[in-house]
Amino acid sequence: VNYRVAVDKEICIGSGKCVGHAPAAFGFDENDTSSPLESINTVADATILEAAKLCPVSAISVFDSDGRELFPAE
Amino acid sequence: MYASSTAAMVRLTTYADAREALRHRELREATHDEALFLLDNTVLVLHGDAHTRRRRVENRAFRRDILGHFERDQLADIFQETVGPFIEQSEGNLVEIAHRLVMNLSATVAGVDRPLRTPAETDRLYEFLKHLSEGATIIDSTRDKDEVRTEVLDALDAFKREFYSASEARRRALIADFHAGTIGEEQLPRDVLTTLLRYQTELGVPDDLLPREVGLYLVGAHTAANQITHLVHELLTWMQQTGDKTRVAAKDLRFVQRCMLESVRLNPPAPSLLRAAPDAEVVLRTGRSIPANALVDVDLASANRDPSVFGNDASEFNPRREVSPEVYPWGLSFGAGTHVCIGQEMAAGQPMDEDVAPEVHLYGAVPRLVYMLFEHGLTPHPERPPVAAGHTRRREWGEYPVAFAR
Repeated sequence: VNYRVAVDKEICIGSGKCVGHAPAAFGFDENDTSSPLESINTVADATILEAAKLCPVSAISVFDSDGRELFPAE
Repeated sequence: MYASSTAAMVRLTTYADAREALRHRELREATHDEALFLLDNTVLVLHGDAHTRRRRVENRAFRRDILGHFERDQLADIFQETVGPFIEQSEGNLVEIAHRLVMNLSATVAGVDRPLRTPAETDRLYEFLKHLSEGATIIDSTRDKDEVRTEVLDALDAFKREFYSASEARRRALIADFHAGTIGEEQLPRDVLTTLLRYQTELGVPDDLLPREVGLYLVGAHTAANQITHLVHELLTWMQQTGDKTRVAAKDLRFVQRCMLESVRLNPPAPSLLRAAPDAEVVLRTGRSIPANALVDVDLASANRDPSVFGNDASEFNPRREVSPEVYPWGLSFGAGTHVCIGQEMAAGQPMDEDVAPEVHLYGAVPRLVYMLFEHGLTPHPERPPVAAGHTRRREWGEYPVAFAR
């Protein structure tokens, strides 16, 4: 995996779409918001990007190895 | 300050504008403003932080492990209990069958007990479902709205007496046992009502809100039930048009799920969603301006048929349609943004992923139930054609007679 992710905890509604799509990459924290797991390093970049795109509120940002924002990049 | 009922209306018909408006944090949910007599302070109409806090807690009842348990372990029993009598009679009205099916499922998810599990009990709950659904979608009702409101509030009172109060009392007792250490957490129901009761103080949810919040999940059953009838109709039409006489299409669950996503794109549960603008102009990325205090009509029916996104045949049912990875195959039928449909995965499953093994993939309750209906030899009724619903502007069937092979 080359991508890095950041979850905006303020806007995450805990829909679980990222957890459902990439259970090795995301879990829930004690506040019911999405949280990247240590095992995210074992998950394919494409899967991480797909999980981010499924987020209904775009709470997950994905960056490439150079730090460029790939998603949502709006 | 947000838009009033006399505000200017802006209609968004393209996929890009509609999607952005639904996700825009400055645009307040306003679809149910006319239904506040029933929905006030429920998660459906809350905005901002209060909505986010409530939603995070209620989402617990829709996590993947719970949905998997419903799909794989409970759905077949609910199907047999609900559809069995119709299969015995070799016929039935699919609209009624679908509502009972999804209602019984939704009651389990919501936390409404059905202690008797009899057809008469199902009928009674179904009556409440119809009233509560009509109240929540009163904006599209073609009936006298004062009459509808009176009926809905009477039905809500009866729902509390006949179903809700005992369901709440049982859960409060279980939660007390859990806090006393006499039962473990795994013995608590994992439904919406139990979750709300456990976090009621933290969320600031008053007692009188609870039955309306829980009733909301029965209302959700109405939209999922309509999708069953739409999907059966689209599949029957597809098989007829493609000459699929052995009905191969309905024997492939993964394909049935694809059909459901295409069907729900063409038949969004709500033809449009409303958003209210703040007291400052909002400009969308396409340059479309939404004036201060305007009402925004997010036209899902049009956005879901946007040819620039879904192709020139966007208005046709094509389960083999390919769309860009940036686009949802189901269009915007489940909404987007913070008010995205909480029951989406329960109804429609998870997006297709070839890397996920079939035994753990979530296909969704609607595709699975439709698959089971076809397994029991569902065909159109030989004598009675389907009839569209007359009480609403929504695209719904009033009666859809079907036959079953015995």
